[in-house]
Amino acid sequence: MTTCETITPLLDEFIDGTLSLDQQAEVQRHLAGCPDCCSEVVALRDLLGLARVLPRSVPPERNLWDGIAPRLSPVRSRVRGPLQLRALRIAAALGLLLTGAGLASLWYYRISPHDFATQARRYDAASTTLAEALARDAGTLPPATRAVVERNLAIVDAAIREAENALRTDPGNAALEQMLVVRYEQRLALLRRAGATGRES
Amino acid sequence: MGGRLAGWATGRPSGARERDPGATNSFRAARWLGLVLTLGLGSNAGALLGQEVVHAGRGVSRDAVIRIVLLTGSLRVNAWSRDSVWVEGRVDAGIGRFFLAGAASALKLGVEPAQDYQPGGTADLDVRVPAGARLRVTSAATDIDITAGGGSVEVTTGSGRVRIAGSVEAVSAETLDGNVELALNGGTGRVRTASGTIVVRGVIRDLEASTVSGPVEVGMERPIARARMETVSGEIAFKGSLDRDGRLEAQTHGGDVELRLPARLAAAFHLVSYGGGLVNKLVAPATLHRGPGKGEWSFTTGDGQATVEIRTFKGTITLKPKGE
Amino acid sequence: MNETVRRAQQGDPTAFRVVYETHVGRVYALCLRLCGDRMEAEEHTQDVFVRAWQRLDGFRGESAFSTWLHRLAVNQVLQAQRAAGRRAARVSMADPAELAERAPTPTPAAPSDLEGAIAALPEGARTVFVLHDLEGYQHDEIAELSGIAEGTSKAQLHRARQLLREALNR
Repeated sequence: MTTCETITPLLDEFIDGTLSLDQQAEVQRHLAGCPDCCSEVVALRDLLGLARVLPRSVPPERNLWDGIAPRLSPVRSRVRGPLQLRALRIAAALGLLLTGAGLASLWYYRISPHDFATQARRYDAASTTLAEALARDAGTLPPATRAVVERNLAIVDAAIREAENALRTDPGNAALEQMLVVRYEQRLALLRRAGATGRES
Repeated sequence: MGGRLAGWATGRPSGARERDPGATNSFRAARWLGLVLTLGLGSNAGALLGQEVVHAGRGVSRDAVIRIVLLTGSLRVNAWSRDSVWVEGRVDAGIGRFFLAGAASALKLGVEPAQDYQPGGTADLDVRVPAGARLRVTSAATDIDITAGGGSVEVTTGSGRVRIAGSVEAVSAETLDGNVELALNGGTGRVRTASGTIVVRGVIRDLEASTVSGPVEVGMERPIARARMETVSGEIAFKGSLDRDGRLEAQTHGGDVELRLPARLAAAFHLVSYGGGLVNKLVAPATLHRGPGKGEWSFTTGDGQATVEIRTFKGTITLKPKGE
Repeated sequence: MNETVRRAQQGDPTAFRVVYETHVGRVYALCLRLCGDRMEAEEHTQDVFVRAWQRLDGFRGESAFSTWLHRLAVNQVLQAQRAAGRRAARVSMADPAELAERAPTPTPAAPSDLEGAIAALPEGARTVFVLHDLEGYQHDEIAELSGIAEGTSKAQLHRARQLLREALNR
């Protein structure tokens, strides 16, 4: 004769499906006549149902990569072949432009006109989004901070205009393109930092 | 507690004695008055002045994550050999209240801003952390002075001077309008500021330094594995050497770039000054090859294992032997 | 093997950045639930990816990369918890005068009731619940990873489920 006391310790494994067939049958027989143990099983199943729908992925609230990147030992770096280089450029164009830390790595490489155009477009989009967000939050920035941001944005913008003009008269100059990419990234980083300062202050 | 504090008064490291060099006159006056009232009225004098006096501590693990949040004022952090955190300081009531919370492996402390935050107040915290602690400092306008002892340091701030010294595995400092100085004894460093000056001294393995309108000045006592420096209108000055397969990159728009390198450095150089010029005092002029683009030069010294890559839009590049 | 992982294995930091972006949410969620503290979880997540970079050579593609990475994350958190437990005990014994502390205010782990209740579980029960009921580990694997007996793992799971039900019914 089974009692609730002997069955209760088995309920966890019963709902996990890890009991032997004999034990499973024994629990089922008990449940058929015991509303209390039945409600235990229902409650456990409800809990596991809730657990199953918890999100598998939770984005961190801050950018953790900045604390990772400096710790990646450079000794792993190898000479990269053309195919890998191309893939690297594509990866950069896909996402790193928008995240700040990645763009400087493009310094290493000669950038083809096609890559440069792609990156410039992505820079435009990211820069516009950040500038709009900053304009919305401008009121939260202390006046002195706002002045610093505006002064430095003006410096970067003037440099970008000057280099873009030079590129128009000297199209395809890889060094100019590389310098422009770094300027773009500095502008993004500045907008991002200003936005973060607004939120912190 | 009283015995503990008495021990501190006689036994603390010398750095902790240098109290508030940058404090305002009114803050000094308030503290002087606080001292007088303390002698006359007892330990509640700080509260009467609207100032919270902080003495707080907690045992933590040797490599604990210590988060410090301080919006304004001054912060000094020193590593010590004990597995604990200790904080002393003062917080003006108008800006908020001191807090210290968390677990042995992750502790958070600082000043929780008051609901009715009153600008003009300040806070002054002196914090001891275990040598291997991983420090994360967030601030808006605070002078920050950290002497680390082996862990890592991340500082994010709006303005205020940031100085990080000592032995650190990894340093990251990001500020909008503050000067940043690293005086390290190894590890990696990453600094980003908008208008601040970046100064890096000592020994570092891997450096990234980026500013918009400030200069970057790097003086290394030992060869560096990788250095990447960029500024838009500021100047870059690097003095030091590279690992055999090291890499040095510098990028400006209008600022000049000056490199002081060992005359015998074996490296492949690629220099671009689109609208500026090159002043070469490092190698024989015949070594230089112009091109392929406008304002480009390249040359190799020795077996050229290391790499030096300089680009400026209109700044002047100057190469000098290190001793000069 | 995934092309990005293969490139990261060859030492390509940009590819590793893509690996990070792909997996950080799941690794962070796992760390957050295992340790119940946002700041600690951030640190663990960073440590996991640094470790992954250092050990990528050891990934042979015999299991899914995400499985390999998750195992790394579980090991990271459990090892840190064991070490922290030992150190905290030692510090408390050696340095009682310094424990002049205020009442700790735990960081809220996540918005949902269940997330909060999981974060509030005792460490041992939380570890077993997260590994068994959320991550699908078996008791023998949990026993091996945590250095506890299989029976202890079952008992902790029972305790965790009871505590969670009580917390959710309050």
